Amino acid sequence: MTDSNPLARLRHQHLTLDDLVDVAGRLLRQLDVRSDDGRVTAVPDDRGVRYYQTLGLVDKPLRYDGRRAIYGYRHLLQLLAVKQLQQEGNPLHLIQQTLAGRPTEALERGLETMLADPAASPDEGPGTGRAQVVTSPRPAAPPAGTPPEPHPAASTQPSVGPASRRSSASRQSLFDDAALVATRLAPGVTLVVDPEIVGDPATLINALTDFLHARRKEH
Amino acid sequence: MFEHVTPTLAPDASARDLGGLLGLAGDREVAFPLREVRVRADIAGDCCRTFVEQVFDNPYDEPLEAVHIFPLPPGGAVTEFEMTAGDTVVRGECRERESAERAFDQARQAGRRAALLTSERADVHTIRVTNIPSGTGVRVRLVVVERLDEADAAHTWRFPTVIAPRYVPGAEIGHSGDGAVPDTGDVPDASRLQPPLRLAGGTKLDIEAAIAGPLASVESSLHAVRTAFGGDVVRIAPSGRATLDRDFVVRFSPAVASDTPVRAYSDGHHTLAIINPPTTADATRIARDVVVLVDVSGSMSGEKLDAARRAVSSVVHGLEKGDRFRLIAFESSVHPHTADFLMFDQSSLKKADRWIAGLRDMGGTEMLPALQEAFKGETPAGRLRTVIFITDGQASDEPRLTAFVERHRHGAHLFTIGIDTAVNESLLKQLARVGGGTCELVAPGDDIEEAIVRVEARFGAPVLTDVAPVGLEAARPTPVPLFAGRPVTVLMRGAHTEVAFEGRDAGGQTIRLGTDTVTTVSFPLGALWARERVAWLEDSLASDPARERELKAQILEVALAHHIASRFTAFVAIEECVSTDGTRRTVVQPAELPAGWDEGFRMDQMSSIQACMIPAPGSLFSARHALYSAPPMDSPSLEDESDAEPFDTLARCAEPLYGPPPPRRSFLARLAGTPAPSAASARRDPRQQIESTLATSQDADGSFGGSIERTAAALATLLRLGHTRSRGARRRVVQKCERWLRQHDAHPLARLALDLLDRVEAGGPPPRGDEVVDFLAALPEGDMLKTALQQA
Repeated sequence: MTDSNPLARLRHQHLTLDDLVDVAGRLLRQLDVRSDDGRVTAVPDDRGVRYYQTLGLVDKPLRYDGRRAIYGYRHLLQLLAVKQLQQEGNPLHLIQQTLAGRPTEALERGLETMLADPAASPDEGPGTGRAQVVTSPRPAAPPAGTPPEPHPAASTQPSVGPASRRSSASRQSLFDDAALVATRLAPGVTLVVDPEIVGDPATLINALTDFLHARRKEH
Repeated sequence: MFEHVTPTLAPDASARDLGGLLGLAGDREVAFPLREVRVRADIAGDCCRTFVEQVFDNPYDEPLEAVHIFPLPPGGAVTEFEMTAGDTVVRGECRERESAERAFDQARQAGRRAALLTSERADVHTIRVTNIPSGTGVRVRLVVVERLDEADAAHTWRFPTVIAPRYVPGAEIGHSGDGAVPDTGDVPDASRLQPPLRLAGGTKLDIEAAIAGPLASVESSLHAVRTAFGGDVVRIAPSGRATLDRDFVVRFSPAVASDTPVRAYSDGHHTLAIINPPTTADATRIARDVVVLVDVSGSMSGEKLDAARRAVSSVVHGLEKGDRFRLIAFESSVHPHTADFLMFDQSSLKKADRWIAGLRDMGGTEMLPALQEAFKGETPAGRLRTVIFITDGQASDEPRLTAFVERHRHGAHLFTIGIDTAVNESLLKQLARVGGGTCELVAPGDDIEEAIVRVEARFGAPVLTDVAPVGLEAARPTPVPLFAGRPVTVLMRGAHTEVAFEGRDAGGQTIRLGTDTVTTVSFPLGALWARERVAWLEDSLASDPARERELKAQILEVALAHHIASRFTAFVAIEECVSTDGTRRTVVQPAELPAGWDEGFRMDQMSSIQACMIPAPGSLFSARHALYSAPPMDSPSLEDESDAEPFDTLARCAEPLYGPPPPRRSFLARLAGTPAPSAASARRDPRQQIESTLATSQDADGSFGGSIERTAAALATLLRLGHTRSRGARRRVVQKCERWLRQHDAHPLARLALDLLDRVEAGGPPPRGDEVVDFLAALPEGDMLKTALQQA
């Protein structure tokens, strides 16, 4: 997926079950997925996610934080794919067959058009932002037996580029009132920001990064 | 610059056709990796060697790692394992599990084809095959050796093909395995036990058992089968297309029944002995305190609950004067019928009947509190507590249940009756083993009353207790009880020319049984010995987890020495050459919902199998009622064709006589609020229906409604159907009838019926249809019945 993928910043996001359901729900509401009788297709709830797990449609959690299951990007893609395929009128048993173990890139490719951000024009290219959104200080170990997750651009270039600068009243930001944003400033230092309170997290993050960078040079 | 991302959506819906992008086209079936399972069983006498082949294909564009969580017979030992890809055959090596897993991981990273077999429970195993190149396939073969169960002069070979959704109690704590449910505090290995649930389609099963003959009978309860006789071997296989959705059960009896007290075999290194329980004259009966524990969880929904109701009813109706009973239903919570034991009499029997008819399915399968309730309280001196546990066994907290029963049964006997198409045999056998009882497995469509009567002889004290070999150590060193009709197999190290066993009878006398005829066989008894020893060590570990280090070392030693799979050993096969590079797709093969399970369960299986997800009541069920796709094999008729017709007549007669059969309503009917005959009762033949009606409408004193005419007519009917005091599945009903009628033999009809009984007992012919009609005519409804008979 190119960096115009609005989900790119979620690649290394770690989500609780509630977060996962919440994020998927927002995206699906934006998609305005409708079923035949005109009602908005049920966005998955926590039970729905569990059910999909028992069908192998959604992978097991990345890890557990105490007793809390932590999900990630791939789980989100899987949920969106299930819902989108249902919306297209495919029965769940065919979806089960087609999604079984499907690699992340294939899901990304499949979902790309669906999620394409028309505002992000290709010539904008990757941005120069230094901050990376990474909630986990170290990459989570892939679950035993699953193929290693691709870590495309994330480790070498910022996963968050200057996306759409246009704001539109009709568009609802994924993070308008979403969970906290966590950013790794430097090895061993992670900053958690509540975007609802800190109006301009980027400035703060960049300032702190610079500060830490300078401090490190000094020592 | 850092900015919020605003994901927006393709405005054009047609651009969002994910199905097209993912190659999902219409109704095209995209196969899962497991294409076919082939099973060939070689059965000779008491032992069986089974060859299992699993065929995996890679239909995907990238290399594949296939994961298959599947069942094997719980008493079986995997002795061989090999992987075939193209012309290359790689024999698997039995190693310590960690070492095998490490070697497999390295092979995976290096891009070599490799297969790994690990065992999670006695019956749950996982095969992983990695680096299967796109468009190619791999065959994995394994060999299982086991000894067969023998009950009532028939052997049973049961091969499981699917792990049913099993309930997982406890709160979620992690997810270490590849299964579909998380680990919980109560079941820390749950994530290794449950394959995902397959929504449609099934993997082809090609299964055949070859049994060394001659045989007196052979039948299969869950499949329509074809049977071929050739030479000395009888071959039996499903006659239609079979998939991995139910156990394959073959029950057969040899033409020449062995009546020696002990049969013994040796392969030169180990000795196997089968001890037949001596037939004893009925000892003085000990009054029983019978607890019937019945599972009414969501997984019992549909036909299984019907069967469970009939089983409870049959057990209760089989009680005798002086017995006490207690009925307990359970799901997520425990629902006792009464707080204490009830004396068995007419009023408690009627109360029990009403309670049984009202049983409904719901919720999870919390067995531990239910067992706690069943074993609660003291059993007074002079009474024997018997716990009869009726369930499909679909729970996964085996170790703690086993440990509880072992510690808390205090001399009571636990008998398990498993009802399912894919029963959890492992759990039910373990519980019976530590519970000092036996395990009986029946199919939901079976004649449950018949099955209960068959096993009822054992629902009390064993014939012999503390049976152990003299001067030798058994693979399971704990002495075992010996129940009527249930021979016990004992495995010992070394080749012996004679073996002897001692046990105590009810009076405390030492009884010695033995043989000096030891037949030499080529069957690998060492693997059986090792499997049995490992099972005993596992039982010990379950009851005393503190000894883990010591017991684990012992299990490892035995399993490695005999090259068998266990929880701590695994088989690994690795190809030399490199087959693939790049990333793999990992697919965990989903498993079908077992045949006969309620479709509603599928819709909401999470909430039904996981404690952490209890749903709101009422949200549980929807959809259709699942029926068997294949009818069970027709049981051979005991009567000739010309005699078949009167049974229909009797069926029609029986209803006004004894009232309608106890209410049996399907799940769907309950939803709709209308009565409807269930799938089970629709399929049962009229003969079974009459018998079942008779069995469940008999009063506690043995009469039918206290009426001499009715009771006499019932006895005549039973005799007509081939049941006597000593023969036939309804002998218990006959015995009770007789006892009551003897007290009223001044009445001519009572005398007439008893005369018929004596005639049959003396070897005379069963009563003719017209003789039975004479009894019916004496009833108030007689005229109507006569007319009905004439019209028939």
